[in-house]
Amino acid sequence: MSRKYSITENGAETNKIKKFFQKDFSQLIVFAIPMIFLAVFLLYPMGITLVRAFWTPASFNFKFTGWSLEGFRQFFSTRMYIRSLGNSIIVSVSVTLLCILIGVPMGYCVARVKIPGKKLLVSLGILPIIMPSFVGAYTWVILLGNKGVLRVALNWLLGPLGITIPSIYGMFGMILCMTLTYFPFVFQMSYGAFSGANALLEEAGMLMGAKRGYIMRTITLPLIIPSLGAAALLVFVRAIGNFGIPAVIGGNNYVLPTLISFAYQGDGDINFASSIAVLNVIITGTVLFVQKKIVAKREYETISATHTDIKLHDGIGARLFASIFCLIILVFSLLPQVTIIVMSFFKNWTGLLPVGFTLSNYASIPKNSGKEMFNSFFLSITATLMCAVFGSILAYITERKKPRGAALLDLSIMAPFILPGTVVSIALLSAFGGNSAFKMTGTYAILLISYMIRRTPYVYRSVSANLTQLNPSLEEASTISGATWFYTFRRVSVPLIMPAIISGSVMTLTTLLQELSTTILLYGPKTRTVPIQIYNKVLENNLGQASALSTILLIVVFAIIYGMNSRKGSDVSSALKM
Amino acid sequence: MKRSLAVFLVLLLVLTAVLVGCKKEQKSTGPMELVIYNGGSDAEGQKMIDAFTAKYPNIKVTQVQDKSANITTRVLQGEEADVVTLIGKENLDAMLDHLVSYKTANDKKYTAELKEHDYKYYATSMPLQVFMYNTDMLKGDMIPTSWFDLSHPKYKGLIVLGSPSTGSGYAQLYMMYKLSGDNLNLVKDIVANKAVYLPDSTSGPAGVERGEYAITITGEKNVGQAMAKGSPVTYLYPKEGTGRRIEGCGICVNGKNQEAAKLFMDFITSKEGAEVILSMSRRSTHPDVGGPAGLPGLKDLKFFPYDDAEASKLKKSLQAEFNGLL
Repeated sequence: MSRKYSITENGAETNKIKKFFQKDFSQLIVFAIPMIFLAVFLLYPMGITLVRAFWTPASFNFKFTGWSLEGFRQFFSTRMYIRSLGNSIIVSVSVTLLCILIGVPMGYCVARVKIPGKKLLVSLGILPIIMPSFVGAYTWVILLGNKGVLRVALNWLLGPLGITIPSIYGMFGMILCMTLTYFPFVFQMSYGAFSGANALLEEAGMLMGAKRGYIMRTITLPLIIPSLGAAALLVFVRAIGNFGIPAVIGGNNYVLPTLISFAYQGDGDINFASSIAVLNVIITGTVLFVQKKIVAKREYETISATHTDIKLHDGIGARLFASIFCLIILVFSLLPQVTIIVMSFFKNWTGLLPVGFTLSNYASIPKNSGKEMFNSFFLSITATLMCAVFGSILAYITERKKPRGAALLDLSIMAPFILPGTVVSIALLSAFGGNSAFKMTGTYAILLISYMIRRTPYVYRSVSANLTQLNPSLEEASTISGATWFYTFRRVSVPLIMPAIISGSVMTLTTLLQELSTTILLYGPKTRTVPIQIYNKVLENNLGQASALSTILLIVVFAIIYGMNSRKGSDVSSALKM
Repeated sequence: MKRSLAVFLVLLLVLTAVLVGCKKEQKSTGPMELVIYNGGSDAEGQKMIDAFTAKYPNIKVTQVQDKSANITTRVLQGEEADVVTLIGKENLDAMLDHLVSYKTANDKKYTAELKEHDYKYYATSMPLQVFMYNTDMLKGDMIPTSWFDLSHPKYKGLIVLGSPSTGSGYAQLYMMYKLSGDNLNLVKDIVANKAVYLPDSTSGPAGVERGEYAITITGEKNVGQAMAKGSPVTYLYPKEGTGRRIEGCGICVNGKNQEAAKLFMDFITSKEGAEVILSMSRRSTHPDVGGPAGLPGLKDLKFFPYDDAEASKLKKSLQAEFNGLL
């Protein structure tokens, strides 16, 4: 009796072990890797920054300096710091409002009015945001500075009428330049929303006799509020994190990134830089909170079985107005790109006009930048592939599996998206710099990791937005028929979300090719990239060579984006959703 | 299931391969390589590398170019720099514990004030701060002659300077503090004159070259390089003189190529090396080499005392006082 009992027990034991090994752990492991990655390379560095903000400020001292609120006290007791905080808020709020004012009508015009060359408009319309802000800022000085060619020309034209264009330096110039740089976020998102919104709702309104204005106010605009909120947040974050434009044309109107650079680059004081970074995060966090509040009340899902084409305005007046409006905005916002292309064929542009036509800026690239070109493309492409895999798996987990703490996961993935680049870089530097346990500076790995941390949100957002709109019934059917989760993921989910993966990856690749703020703090002798070289050339005032390199990147980026926009189903705006 | 596991394993393999590959990259530095951390410009670093490798073709040299303060941070954080070049004295002093004592072959050419007493660094050049103005914009009696001229209302809105949070910007602030008799009165007047203080020290000279601003204070080399390009600018040594500052090179503790680093130190402190420094329009400290082309010789310049120790000690409080003005 007792023998039999023991046999049964043994049997149960072996069974348990057998079951344990038979259980499909692949799902768990695949989920665990991104989690560990996030914990080590994101939460740990960000945690260190948060902690350091409460250490006593100290120059060139990376060891523990004692707990204190000294950093914050210093900040709030100095006039210049408080003024800079004020400037940051004024600039980013104004830029956000102005971007909405320009971007929404332009998105509407391109989506809803019958105008020629839409694909080209949408592709060109994203270029302003894809340029290192430092280079962009210099081109604005060349165009609109005291001796700027455009300003002089306009003054000559408008002079007889008694109008003079003011100098670009100061708050007005900063706001203008940032608006022209960042409005594409609003334009792309509202274009996506206006062309994607269900036309049946508007038609129903029309059939019931509602006037156009009423339909606009009660149906169309509310439908695009979520996209608009996301775009506005993006613009705000970019504007408050921009270092280049205020540095070059802000004059004495400093902003928060200027102060971070003073603390870190001027004094080697990571602790004080962290205190300022934390203040920056508090502001962005508050804006994020407000944005979520506004949008959450207006989250609509339009479900339809049939797709109807939206009726386009085709009146001659509307078409003319829309074409001219879009053209003016596009021409103005692309002036920096045009300037760069022109400048790339000249030795220099230090006066009114460029001097010394030459092709040598291009001819010297293979010799001087061969390694940098390789590094840029190798790092950007590898990081993009890794972002695509990680981003889609993470999106799949949070959207479909809905694990406990999904909201927290969501927030941590998105954190680098809403944090200024310098803040993330300083976090990575203090976590993985030479003195730390994981010394990684100067390796390809640290750049790949920082690129992944900063850019995974593009694919992640793009895919999870797509998944929410995708009925899970197809996946359920696959599972019921006996497929493993991975088979289902690979054969059913991935093909369905492919357009989203592609648009997220394109955003990742194009912005990585131009990445400067993280790379500059983390690159080593073997890992120098093209944007670093461009930045150095700009600082040496060697604008010709800097422009030639920028032009090459610009052409590559445009080719990728135009190629994607020509595919059906993919569009850049889905990568920008929050 | 098997297939899914295989796919996952391949993914993992790729990831490990990338990480391991990068680790290897870091360790594979051979005996005859050299990594320079350069505080000068990219082109200046390349000039040094070209001249050095012409002499030692078997040494492969790479550079990391960054701002002086960033290089200091990187060295203090333990990055594997072999030598640091063109770094201001205040930053060299900050990284003293990370520098190696090495008495170069040319030691005798350098007087005590041009080297660290333990031979941890040698001053290869002097970043002398001078006025630079746009010759199209300032003519005749509009051309200033003295530091105190900058407070004159006729220069309202025409002056651009580096913020005292930058290395050279602070040196200028300290000099003005000494000139006004240990106070910031002159600085106050210049701020009231709507001078612009830019967050980096290279944009100011570029602005004067373009004619965006009329006048700035900057290192001699920026004036020399702009003049060589044919830009409408020139230098002006104010009548009170300027402060004598030094910048230089040293070998880092964490470098993997100490032998090559020593060869580089011998080279850059030699007359040959000094000529490379000179070709950047920097003022070489080597006694056998003259001033940069087109600029007066060291003997013809007037200096007033510049006390590095005091400058470092007062840095925080002077910066804070300045921040209260802006």
